[in-house]
Amino acid sequence: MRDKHEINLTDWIIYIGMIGIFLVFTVICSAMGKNFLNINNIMNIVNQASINAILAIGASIVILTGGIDLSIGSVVGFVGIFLAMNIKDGMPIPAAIILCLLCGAVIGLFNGVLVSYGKVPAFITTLESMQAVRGLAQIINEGQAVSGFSLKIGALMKTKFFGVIPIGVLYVVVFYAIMILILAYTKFGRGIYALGGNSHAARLSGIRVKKLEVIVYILCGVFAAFAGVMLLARLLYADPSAGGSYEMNAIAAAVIGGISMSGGKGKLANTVVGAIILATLTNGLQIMNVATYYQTVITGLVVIVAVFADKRKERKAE
Amino acid sequence: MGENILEMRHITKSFFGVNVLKDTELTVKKGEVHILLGENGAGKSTLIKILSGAYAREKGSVVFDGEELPQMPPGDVIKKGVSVIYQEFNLVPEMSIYENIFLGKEYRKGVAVDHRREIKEAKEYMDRIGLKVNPRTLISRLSVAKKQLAEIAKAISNDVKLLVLDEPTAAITDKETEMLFGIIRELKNQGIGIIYISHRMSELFEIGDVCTVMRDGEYVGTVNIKDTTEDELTEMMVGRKVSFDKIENKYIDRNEVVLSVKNLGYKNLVKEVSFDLHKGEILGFAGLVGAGRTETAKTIIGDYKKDKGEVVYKGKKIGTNLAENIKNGIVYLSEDRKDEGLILMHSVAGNIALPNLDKLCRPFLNRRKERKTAREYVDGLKIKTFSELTEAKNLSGGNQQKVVIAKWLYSDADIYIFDEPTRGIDVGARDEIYNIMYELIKKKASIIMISSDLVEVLKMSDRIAVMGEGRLRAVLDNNGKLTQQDILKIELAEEVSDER
Amino acid sequence: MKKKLISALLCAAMVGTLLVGCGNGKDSGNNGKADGNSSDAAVVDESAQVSDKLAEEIKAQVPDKDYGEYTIGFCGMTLNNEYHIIVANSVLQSGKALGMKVEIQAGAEHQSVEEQLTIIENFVSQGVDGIILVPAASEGLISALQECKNAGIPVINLDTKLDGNTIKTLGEDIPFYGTDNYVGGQMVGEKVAELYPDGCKTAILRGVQGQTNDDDRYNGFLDKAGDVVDLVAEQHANWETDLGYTAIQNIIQANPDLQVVYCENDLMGIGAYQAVDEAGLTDQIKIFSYDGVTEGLQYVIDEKFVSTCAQQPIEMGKLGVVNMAKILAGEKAESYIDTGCKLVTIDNAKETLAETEKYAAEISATK
Repeated sequence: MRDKHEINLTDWIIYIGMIGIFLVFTVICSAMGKNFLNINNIMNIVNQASINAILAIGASIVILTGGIDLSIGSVVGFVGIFLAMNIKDGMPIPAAIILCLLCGAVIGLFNGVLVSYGKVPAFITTLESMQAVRGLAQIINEGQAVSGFSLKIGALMKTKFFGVIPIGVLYVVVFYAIMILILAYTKFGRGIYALGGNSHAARLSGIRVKKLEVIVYILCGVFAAFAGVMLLARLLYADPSAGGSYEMNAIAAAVIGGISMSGGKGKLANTVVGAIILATLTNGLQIMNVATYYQTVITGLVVIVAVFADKRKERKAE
Repeated sequence: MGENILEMRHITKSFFGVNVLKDTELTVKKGEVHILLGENGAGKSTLIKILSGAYAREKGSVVFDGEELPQMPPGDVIKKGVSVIYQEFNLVPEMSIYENIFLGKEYRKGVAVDHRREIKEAKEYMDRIGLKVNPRTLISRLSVAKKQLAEIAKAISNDVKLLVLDEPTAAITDKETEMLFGIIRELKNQGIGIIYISHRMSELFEIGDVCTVMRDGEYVGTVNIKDTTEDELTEMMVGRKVSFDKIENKYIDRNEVVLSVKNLGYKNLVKEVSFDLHKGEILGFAGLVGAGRTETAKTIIGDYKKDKGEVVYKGKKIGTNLAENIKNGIVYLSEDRKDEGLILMHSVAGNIALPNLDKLCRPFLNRRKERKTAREYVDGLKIKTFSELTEAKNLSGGNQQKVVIAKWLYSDADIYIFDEPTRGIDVGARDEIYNIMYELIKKKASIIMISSDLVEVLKMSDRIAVMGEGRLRAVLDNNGKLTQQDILKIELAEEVSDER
Repeated sequence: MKKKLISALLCAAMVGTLLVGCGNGKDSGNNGKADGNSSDAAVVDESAQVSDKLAEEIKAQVPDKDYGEYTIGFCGMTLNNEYHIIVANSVLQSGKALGMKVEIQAGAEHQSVEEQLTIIENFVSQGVDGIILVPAASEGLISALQECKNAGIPVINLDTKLDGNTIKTLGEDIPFYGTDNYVGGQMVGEKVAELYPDGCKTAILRGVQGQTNDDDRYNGFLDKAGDVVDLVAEQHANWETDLGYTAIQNIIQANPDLQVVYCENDLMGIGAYQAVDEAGLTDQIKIFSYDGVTEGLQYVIDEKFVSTCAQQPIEMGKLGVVNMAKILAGEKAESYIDTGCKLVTIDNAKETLAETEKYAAEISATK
């Protein structure tokens, strides 16, 4: 008895949900004579999910601490413009990317310091920085899109391994692996959960909660910046309005993955499943050529179901 | 006293495969104050939650007022006339008293709520129990005692026939307790049955008529309060006799001062507090609620940033960096387990590991060691839990407290500040906690024990610091001749002089 | 308790966003004002001098009068893309050529109708003398327009035509100068029909549902190409590059034999091209775009697009100001001018790009 985990079906519900969605699409698409379940399309889905999945890492860890970061979509837009301009001005691509990641870190630092030391609610802080960073994205190139830069950056998203696996998958696998390990096997990771579970108890247990909170927001900013690099490499065109509402998709992925909105609970590994479910919905419905606004309704309903399942799980545990 | 208002028979319930109630029974008569007594984890709360409909029973029957009650939701049970007043109140803090009383059963005048009528009736209910405040007052503005009365007023408005009070005196003053007892007697005379859960022996004899004792989820027996003694009840609860004598401390080294506090000040909560703590000593902190004991402790460890004074630990001045102080070996075990002690949604093992992550991470967390260590503490401290991976919120109060202690035992600190270590904990578990303290001083640790229970203070402490109004009023040597009256005199006497 | 409330609010907001526009319903709530202002300052340089040439050109078209006492308000659709920035700049510079004060405001996003309502209401309460409007949706601005009517403030409509019902409800004609998007759509349709006389598998990427632009570009296209093309998929990608990318990737998965993609604006076209390029199908799938922004023209030159349909944003801005000046001088404004559009292909792309750049230089600031 002592070594047995409390096995709970609800832990697996997200995987069951994902497989269910896949099955439904496979059946309907094949009935319509369209090809849904093949390796190429699976790679499409993962590729399409990859940017959101990377953003959702940051969103998840911030939510785990009991916070929220609404500024990440704006960071994506800002980084795209900034990176494109720098490359166009002749800055070496690696240097330009590092500079962008630093920008993400600085924005995260700003958010984190205001939230932890300034005690401004995360919702307010990041709502305002969402505005401010979006404004920066507009100002930096006078609202104009940037094009005509070296397209070499495209290799960062357009490379494929063995001719099938898009490089975006690699980023997802590597960053998730690292972050899952950090969350499960380091003091820092435990601190994140503790902070979200009960910040006062965490503090009185000797966790340096403020420092930790700042680092979490910085990480979130860096992941957002990296997602911005990925988006530019994918589209090879930088538009100041890019990345709008990406924060909502990232938060949706985290919520579908069962990260508790009040913090302290949830598995990052499930967040990536959440991102894949979102991408699968868009992919499958577009393959079936369902009208766009039905797609948004269906996606919205899935998020509601996920939130409902999460609440039920919590209630059951009590 | 008349016929039975409640008969619960053969009640059985289990969580995660562990039987928490085994064939338990409870019979309450109309107009009777029925004490429900038992250690933490004995199943009292579970039994009450089954009565209130919060939990579903697996077996057994509930007969209320002559009528067999099927399983029904809590709202319906309330309508039948059963009201439970928990320690955590069921009131909406940002609503007024009268709105809370009529929540869910508002009077209507057309489409609007008939506020005037509600206020008038609320006033009547409140008058009946002597709650003399404006019914429009927000709940959040009330003291704990008055919130309790508001709950009782709400219960009366529901035409209560059976009122359950869960440790009603845990957080209120003696004067307020007297008032509450008056109300209980009044309700009793009206023929209302009362189930009263408490650990305070003196109270039981003052207010109780009958007492049912539970142990480990089982029914032990029911006795008339008139015909029993404290010793008998204690024995029924724990199955053995508990001693109350001062225990000899052989490990104290009065020549070595490990912690020296000088002129400590924090806002107007802590004023000019100075004292020394010796190696291997248990220093008791007595005082009324609000005397500044908890604040002093928190200022020492750096949770509150001191305004003045200094703290010298092992010959070195220490700062206000909480994490640093904890690392150096000064730890604080909060009286508030739920908000400050534990992360309730995390596992027992995770909680025990939290302050000790440096030990477990080299550089990566050794999860096997984490579980193994937790298992050792669960076994060693007899923490009743399904497994070390069970979430802390599923444990009873006493067992939660043991988890808090386990956290800090593992951290191997030099100074332990226990804040109300046995509040809300039954006699048997108390002894276990006292034994743990002795184990600590045996290892040459030192203890500051904040407690409002004077018996406990006298039993455990080598010296007793008495606080009042933020000041340290006296440090007394517990030479065996000290009595509760001596301490109370200091706590109270100067209070009077302050008032003048 | 507070935490729970906030998380509940967030969930609601999130679900709402997803419902409104999957992955695109950008936050267009209370905050857009500040955003709009900050970008205005950057995008449209109000302190810039007007070029002499432009001043002459504008003055020649209006009644001789001192316009210095007038303030006109320009309410743009948005200021986050090149096309709309050009319209705004054109209005600003033309207005300044006449000595008018011009206030530039715009919504944060393409769909920010509520923000436009606020902007127009503010213009009215500030007491501007005229309003030039590029509506974010064909409908939904009626209450603000009614206020303008009551206050006697003339309104001129550019680029996106207000809905016929709106005009009818208002009971007053609002002059409109812009491209007939239906005609533009027809041009693209003709081109496709000409290149694929035997038919082709076609996908259409549409803009934001509910905008007249979207409907006209769509219906015009099908009017001329409808009999020829086999329409296998259509998706609303809300004028956005990334959504265009994803949609085309998925459409190719469903229809590997796709031949033609018609994108209702260049941004979606750019995204579509990236998806086609990644699939290695640039020879099989041809892209027909719309708008003629700089990058779109460049894509035609690079043969990434077969064609794009160029509009005349600068002309629209000038016409708006000139006619507003006429109204203020007591004359009658033209009620409708089609500013025209042209199909840009490899044959005329370079010269169109040069022209656009020249015009852009003309309206942009000389300091």
